[in-house]
Amino acid sequence: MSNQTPLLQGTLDLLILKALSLQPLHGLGVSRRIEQISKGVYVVRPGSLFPALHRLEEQGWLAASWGDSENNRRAKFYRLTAAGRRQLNTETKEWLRVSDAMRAALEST
Amino acid sequence: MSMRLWHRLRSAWANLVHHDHVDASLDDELGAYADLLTAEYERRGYTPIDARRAALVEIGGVTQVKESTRDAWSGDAFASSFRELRYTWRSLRRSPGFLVTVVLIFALGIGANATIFGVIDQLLFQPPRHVTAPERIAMLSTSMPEGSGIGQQSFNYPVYRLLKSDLRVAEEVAIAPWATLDLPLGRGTGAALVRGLPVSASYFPLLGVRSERGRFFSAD
Repeated sequence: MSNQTPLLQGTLDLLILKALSLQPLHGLGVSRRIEQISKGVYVVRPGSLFPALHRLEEQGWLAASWGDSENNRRAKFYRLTAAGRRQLNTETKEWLRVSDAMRAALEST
Repeated sequence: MSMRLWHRLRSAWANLVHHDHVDASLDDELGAYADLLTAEYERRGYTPIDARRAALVEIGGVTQVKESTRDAWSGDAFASSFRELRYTWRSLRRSPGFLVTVVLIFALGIGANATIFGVIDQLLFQPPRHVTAPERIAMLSTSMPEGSGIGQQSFNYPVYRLLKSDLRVAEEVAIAPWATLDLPLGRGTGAALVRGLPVSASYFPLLGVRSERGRFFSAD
């Protein structure tokens, strides 16, 4: 647990979009998927996960519907909308550009 | 962009109109999260009770999660101020004495304000009603050139005669002093003090004022 890092401002939305890019997931699924793709560095708690999910849904980047989970518990599943997928592409490009620039700047001698 | 605006408007509408429904849906969603997390702990070998406890600890305060999620909803600021209003109304209803006091104070305040405004409006902003054509009446004054601020509004009699005789100046010219005069009315012990203003005979016709009884004095 000591290898966890606090989320940078603005990264949570992008991580959620990325986590949902493969398949629809419910809240806990999104949380676990983010943990998995960030190799355990980011663990998102409900206190920040649900506000972000609802905000992204309001912005039209996610759509939600109720469905059955793996152990037959009804849960709210989120999936990317077309606008959400476009947003994911835009933000991914932007983020990679910024992180490349930061790496170049920090590794310069 | 317009798609997104539409989306936001629609969810703001849903949040406002179906508030209880949306709220219940958030309850269900968090409930599902807790159940799924409990199941996860059970698979890791926790007893059902321990699993439940661990899940709730991991979620943190359910109320806080709900609060911060509600903050993300469009139109919720509006809905919560509506709730505040309803709450205020209910607490006012519960203490009628306080409500009556508040209403009285408001009524007094508004009444006093309206009265004073009416008086000031009549005195200062409305043209006097007994004057026929207030917009055609002017008060004459002289001033020194170059805006020295020195000027006067009193004229000697020859100037008055001159102004009066020249129809290019005005249809009618009247003269009146600044200060009032205290005059005795009646005789002996029955005399009363009246406050008067000596004016030229043209004063009343100029204003278009009609006497209530009899007539005004004339020039001769």
